[in-house]
Formats: sequence, C-alpha cells, structure tokens
Amino acid sequence: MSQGSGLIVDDVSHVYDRTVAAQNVSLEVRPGEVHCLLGPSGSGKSTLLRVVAGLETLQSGRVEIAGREVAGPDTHLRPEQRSVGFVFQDYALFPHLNVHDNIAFGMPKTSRERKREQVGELLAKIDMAGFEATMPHTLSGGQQQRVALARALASHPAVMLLDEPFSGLDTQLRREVRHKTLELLHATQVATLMVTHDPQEALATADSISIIRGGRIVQTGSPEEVYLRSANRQIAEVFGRVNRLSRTVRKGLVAVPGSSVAVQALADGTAVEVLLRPESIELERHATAGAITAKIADISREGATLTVTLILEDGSRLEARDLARQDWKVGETVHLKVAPEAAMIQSLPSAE
Amino acid sequence: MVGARRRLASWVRLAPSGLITLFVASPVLVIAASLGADTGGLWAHLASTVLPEYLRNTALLATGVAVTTVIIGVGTAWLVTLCRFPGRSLLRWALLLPLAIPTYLNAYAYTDLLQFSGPVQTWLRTTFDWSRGDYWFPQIHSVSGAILVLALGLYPYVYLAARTAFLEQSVCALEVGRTLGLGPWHNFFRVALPLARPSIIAGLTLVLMETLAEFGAVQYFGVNTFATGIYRIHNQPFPHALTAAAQLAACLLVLVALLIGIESLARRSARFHNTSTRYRDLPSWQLRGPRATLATALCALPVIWGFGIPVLLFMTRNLQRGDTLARAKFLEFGRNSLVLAAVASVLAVVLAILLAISERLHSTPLHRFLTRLSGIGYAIPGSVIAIGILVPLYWADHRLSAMIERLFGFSPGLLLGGSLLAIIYGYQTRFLAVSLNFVQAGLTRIKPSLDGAARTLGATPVRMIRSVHLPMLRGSLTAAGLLVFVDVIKELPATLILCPPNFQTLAMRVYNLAKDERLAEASTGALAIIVIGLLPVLLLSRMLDHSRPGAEGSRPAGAAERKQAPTHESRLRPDRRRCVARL
Repeated sequence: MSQGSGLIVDDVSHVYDRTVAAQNVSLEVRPGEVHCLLGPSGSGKSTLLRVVAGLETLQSGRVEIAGREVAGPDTHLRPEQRSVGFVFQDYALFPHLNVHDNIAFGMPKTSRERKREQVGELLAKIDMAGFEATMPHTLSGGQQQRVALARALASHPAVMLLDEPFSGLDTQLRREVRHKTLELLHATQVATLMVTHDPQEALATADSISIIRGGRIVQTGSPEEVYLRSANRQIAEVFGRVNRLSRTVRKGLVAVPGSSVAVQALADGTAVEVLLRPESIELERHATAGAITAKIADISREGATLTVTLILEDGSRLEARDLARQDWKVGETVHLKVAPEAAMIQSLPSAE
Repeated sequence: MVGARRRLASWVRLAPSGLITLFVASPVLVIAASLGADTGGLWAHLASTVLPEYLRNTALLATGVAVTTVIIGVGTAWLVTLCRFPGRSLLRWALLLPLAIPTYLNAYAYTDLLQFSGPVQTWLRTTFDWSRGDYWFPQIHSVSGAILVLALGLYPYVYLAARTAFLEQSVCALEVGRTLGLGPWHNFFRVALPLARPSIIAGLTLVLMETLAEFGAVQYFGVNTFATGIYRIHNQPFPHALTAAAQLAACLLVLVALLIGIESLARRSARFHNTSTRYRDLPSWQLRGPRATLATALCALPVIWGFGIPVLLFMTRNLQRGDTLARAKFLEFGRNSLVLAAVASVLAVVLAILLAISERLHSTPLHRFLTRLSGIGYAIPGSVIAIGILVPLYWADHRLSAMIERLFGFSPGLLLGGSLLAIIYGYQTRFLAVSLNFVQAGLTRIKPSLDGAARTLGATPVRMIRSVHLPMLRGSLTAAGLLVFVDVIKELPATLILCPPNFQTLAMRVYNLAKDERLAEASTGALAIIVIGLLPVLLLSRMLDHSRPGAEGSRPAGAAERKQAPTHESRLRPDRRRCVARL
C-alpha cells in the first residue's frame, strides 16, 4: 500500500452549532485498520465524520481519502464523489425500498443480473441470504445494522465511517454484530473510522483509538496503550476506576505496593501519582516475596468478579478486582502485590 | 477565484426559493406599497363616508364570531374528550362536518330558510294565521345573522385546536387537579382551559382570519366590511378606483398583521410544556340520564345547524327545482372549476416541492425566511390578493397594449389582466402555504440521515430527490394537492375579481344565482361544492385516527411496541397538527 492510501485527517478544526466539534484534529487510518474516536456523547464526534464524508463543509484543515485530497482550502468534493461508506447511528435504511434495492442503491452501474448476484453474495456474508425482498421495517435492529453495513460496502468505498454503529443493539446482540462487522471490515481492507462513546466497545473493536475531549485528540494509540499507559488520570478514568497513590521519587525509584518502579525521566523529590487499575493488584492468602499486607474493608460482588476494598498499613485505601474464585472475608488480612509494569506513574504539576 | 465561485454557487442555490417567493409574495407586497399612492381625493372621500362603517362592522363581526366560536368549539371539545355520553364517538368527527360548507353557502341556506317566503315564516303564518306585520321575526340579513352563519361554519377550527390540546394534556395534570379537590367544573376552568389556551388562541386566530377575509356571506347579508368594500370599489368606473381598492386592501392587511402579531405574542408568553411523559386514557366522566341527553344535544346542535340543515335544504330545493341550466351549462361550469383547480393544485404542489426541498438542501436562515414568506398569502383575504395581482397586471397590460398599438396600429385591450393566468397566479399566492405545509411536514418525517446515506452512496442531489424524497413523499403530495384543489373549488372573492368575463366556475355560478334570489337553482352547485368539500374533512378525520404511534407502516411491527402505543389520538404529531391547523 502506498503511503497516501486510507484516510488522512490533517489539522481539521470545525465549529458546529456553536460547539467546537474538532480543534486541530489530525489522524490517519490505514486500509484494513479500524480507528475509533472515543469521546462523550454530544461532543461533536459525529460532526467530524460528516466533515470527512462531505456532508458538512470543511472549515479548516485538509482531508485526504485514498491519496486524493477531497477537502481542503481549495477543494470540496461532493459526498458522492468521495468514495466513503457511511453507517448511520439509526442505520438510515430507505424505508420505501426492500433490502435488495437498499443494498444495490450505491452499486456501480452494471447489469441487473450482476447486481442481483452481488447483493446475494453480500447478504450471504452477513448471514442474511434470502432477505432480498424484505422491507426494512420488518427487520430486527441487528439485521438493519448489517444491511446498512452491506449497503455501505456495496459501493466499494475506500473509507468506512461508522457512527455509533452498535449503540442501538442490546448487549448480547451487540457482541455478535460487532464480531461480524469487524470480520467483514478486515476482509475488505477498507479504512474504517468509527465513533463511539462506549470505552469497552472501543477497546473491543479498534486497532487504534483516539480519545477526544472538547474537540481535541488527547491521546492516540493501540487499545493496550491507551488502557495500560493512559496519558493522564482523566484518560485512565475513561476506561474505569483507577487507584491513585501519592508518592515521591527517591533514587530514581517510585514505590508501589510490593515493589518499586524505576523512573529515569524524573528527578529525585518529584511528587508523583501512581495510577493502578484494580485488576492489576494481586491478592494472596499467604505471604510471598515482596508482598505487603492489607485488611479487607469491603467486598462487592459483580458476577464473575469481586471488587475488594483494602486498607493498607499506612491507612490508604485501594480497590482491587479479583475473580470470584476465592472466598474472601471482610476483616481478613491479605497480602498484595503489584506488577511494576502495570503501574502508570504521572508527575504532578508542581503548582498543586 | 474559489471564493467567487462559491459566492456565485450560493446565489444559484438561492434562485429557486428566491424566484418562487418573489412570484407568490409580490401581490401582497404591491398592496403594502400602495399605501402611499395618490388616488385623486377618492381616498379622502372613502375615509369620510364608508370607512367608519367598515371598521365598525368588521370589529362587531370579529368580536361576535370570536365569542361564539370559542363557546361552541371549546365546549363541544371538552364534552367529547372528557365525558362519555350516547353518540360521542360519532359526534367526535361529525363536529368537523361544517368545515365542508363554505360560509357563503350557509348564508344562502339560512336566508332561504328564514326569509319571509321561507319555510319557517310560512309555517308560522299558516299555523297562527298571521299575515305580514302581525309578528316580529329576526332579520337574518344583519350583522348578528352574519355572526351566526360565520360561527356555525368556522367553529370547527377552535374545536379541533381545543380537542387536540385537551388530548395532549397529561392525565397527571388533571388527576392532580382532582386530588387537590377540584371538581370537574373547576378542573376545567383552572387546569384544562389554561393549559389549552395557546392552542385555542391558534384556532381562534384562524377563525378571525377567515372572518376578516369573509366575502360571500357578508356581501349577501349586506353587511359592509373591508372585504366587500374592496370588491365594490374595484368595480366602480372612477379613475383611481383600483388604487383606492388597493388602499382598502392595505387596511385589511394591517388588520391581519395585527392579528398575527397578537397571536405570536400570546403564544410566546404562554407556551406550556408537559412535564410528564405519562399519557393514559384521559379520565372520562360517564354521564347518565338528563345530563347525557343534554350533552348529546349540545354537541349535536352545531352539527345540525352547521351541516344538517343547509345540506337538507339544498337537497330539497334541488329536488324541487335545481339548476335549470343543469344539462349544458352546469357541466361547463363544473368542468371549468375542475380544470382550474387541477391546474392550480398541480402547480402549487410543484412549487411547494421546489421550495421545501431547496430549504432542506441548503438550510440557511435566508432560505428558511424565503420559504416562510412564500406562505404569507394564506393569511391574506382573497380579495386583497386579487387586487394585488390586478394592479401590476393592468400596469403591464397598458404598457403592452401601448407598445402593440405603436407597432401594429391596433389596441388588443387587456391581455394578462383578463386571462386565466391571473386567477391561477392568485390561487398560488393564496394557497401555496397549504401545499407547502404538507410537503414540509412530509419532508421532516424523512430522517436527515437518509439524505446522508443517499449522498455517500453516490447519489447526486437530483437522484436523491427523485429516488428517495419523492417516493417517500407520495402521501403528503397527494394530500397537499387534494387540499389545494378543494380550496380552489370553494374560493369566491379572488375568483370573482380575477376570472375573465366569459368564464364561470361553480362557486361563481352559485354566487350569481343567489345574488339574483334564485336560491333553488343555486342548490345544485352548492351541493356539488359541499360534496367536494367533504373530501378534506374525511382526510382529516382519517389522519386523526391514524396518528397514533405504531399505526404507521414504516415502524417496526413488533407486538411489544404495539402494546405500548397509547390508545388515543392524543399523540397527534406536531407536523400533522400544523397541517390540521391549515385545514
């Protein structure tokens, strides 16, 4: 693949309805890659998709699709000239057309027989063979979502834009549809930009994630990166609860329960905050090397996992998540350990 | 370079809306501009002679009709929505029937019924052996007669608005009223009525606009108002008569503007939102015994007077005598009406599509403003619009004939002013709002994401309109066309002023016969107009029945969803309500 293929969003800023939808947003999505824009609802992420699709006129910056500038200071290609597929949050199936006509709507000009064949193939891929004559309103939500996806793919776009594609589905269905969708997207080698407000969904779907706050991208990285090495506390908290421990750097080391982490970049005496995800704290009944002791203050059961509140000897509280295999008791003393690589260390701004 | 091209493109995008709006709104603008024109003393003469009478009559008429329609409309709406009594479900839609009868037909019917030689007085004389002068009988040809006839024809606007408002009220508000110790009466006056006030005012505004515009009935009753004055003066052979008529029309325009201003003020200060999302069947009081009979009678009376009696009367008269021209001429007038209405309604729908879609594609404030402006004519009386069209057309005609005379040496007379073009033009100005409302309402039901889907799937705007918008709009377009069609058939003052001398429509035929006291003969045309006028009433009642969520085919047919659907027409969609208001 050449350097310029896929989708490039370069320094795009956009104000919509007096909300800053994007401020100096730059990102790149390679063919076959799924890139997730993660941010709270109503933060204008969808507007960015509409800018890429050409449904909104770009205000500042540049958008490139498959190596071709589609929007910039001097260009504005119409949506129909951009080679994008768009799956809307409400799926936007044409209610007056049956499934076949919906999918065939954007297909390149060809004979009727050829179209029928291609629609049949696509329907087979989404496990909906034989649904050609069905009208959209009789389909379930999951089926509508898949038809919308097939319809967008039928015109062989270079870029797929998905706007909260799974938010209308219930939890069980969501997992299945997500799996199927990813399979299809990866198979077609299309560059996918997807918008979601659901961090779990982003982690489960994306090859890379951009976390967006107030129209700015605050961190971009693989799911592992943004989850395990969040750029700051706010980002870390997007993906769930984190424990915060105040520490000071001593001899290039920061103490974490049961071990210490080497920090090169920070001078001795710097105040830092250690962020620990509850599941990176290991609980043991028996003392092991390096483990420290703590008392269980509270246990709350959430199905397969337990959230255990611990009080350390210095009085600080930690939350740990453990599989519900062990039979912990409130008041019991346990030994805990932290894998040094799971600790995220943030230097605190000196002003505080 | 690019900037200039974009500027040019944005002007091009504005062209359809701009041109159509200029076309349909200009008669109104012409009238507004006529205020300063010179009439050579005619205006001063008018102001000192007839103007006070016009003002007095118009004010009396408006007040009387307002009070009467609110009493009839709100009262019946309250009874049929919150009480149970025999005949309620039938009366609920029968109360709309008087909408089918143009008020001038009501006027003819009641004149026929109550005049000296009419059935009522004849019966009184024969029963009590009276002769002329022995007894007093109310004169129907009076301001109070006009108020009665107008109120009987117009109360459905208030009824419809009030009923919708009552249905939309959350049951909680009413139940709270009851738990706080309010009886049904107090509940009505202290909770339901204040909550429904904005809607009732909207309905009342429609009634008052119709009253100001009313021509046929008041003209027939000899009550001089602005609308009749315009017609009379424009027919006078004085110089400047047309300008004076335009100035009278401008006065009426000011009254209409005042009315719209008051309405929007009233609505701004009182826009209530339901704070509850619970809608259940409204509590209904089961009425029994004499109370039930009384309720049935109260709700039946407006239907009988506003619809039953006129229809029966026209039917009897038609059987007795009917239009003597029935064979040949009647068919010709009918055909004229149908052709005119068909052409006008198709054109109105096409213009509405252009305006509404152009507004949807480029939703700029200017587009929205232009689209609203294009509907202005609906609030303007037909006679005003007619004058607003004649003024520029006569001007153009004079220029044209002068030019032709200079070139070819003969004068062709009036080319545009006396042509069917003028009347079709008038109908567009008057009724474009009707079709526009329906098309806009239909478009709002098409989710914007469908546009995005079509465009990203490679459809050009033209293909999107052709293969997504228009097929989905089919129902709205039919309804829009039908309503304009019926409005055109019923329209009288603009048709009278603008139609060519040798051209007659059904409404004109009925008017002319009635004017000559040939009411029996007028009955045939009247019946035909009533039958056509029933179409939108049926459409309306069907829409009210089908406006529950889930009743529409485009929704998932899940059984669970069906069950949740409220069992009332309470969820009349906002866009529907707009259309209903326009009916």
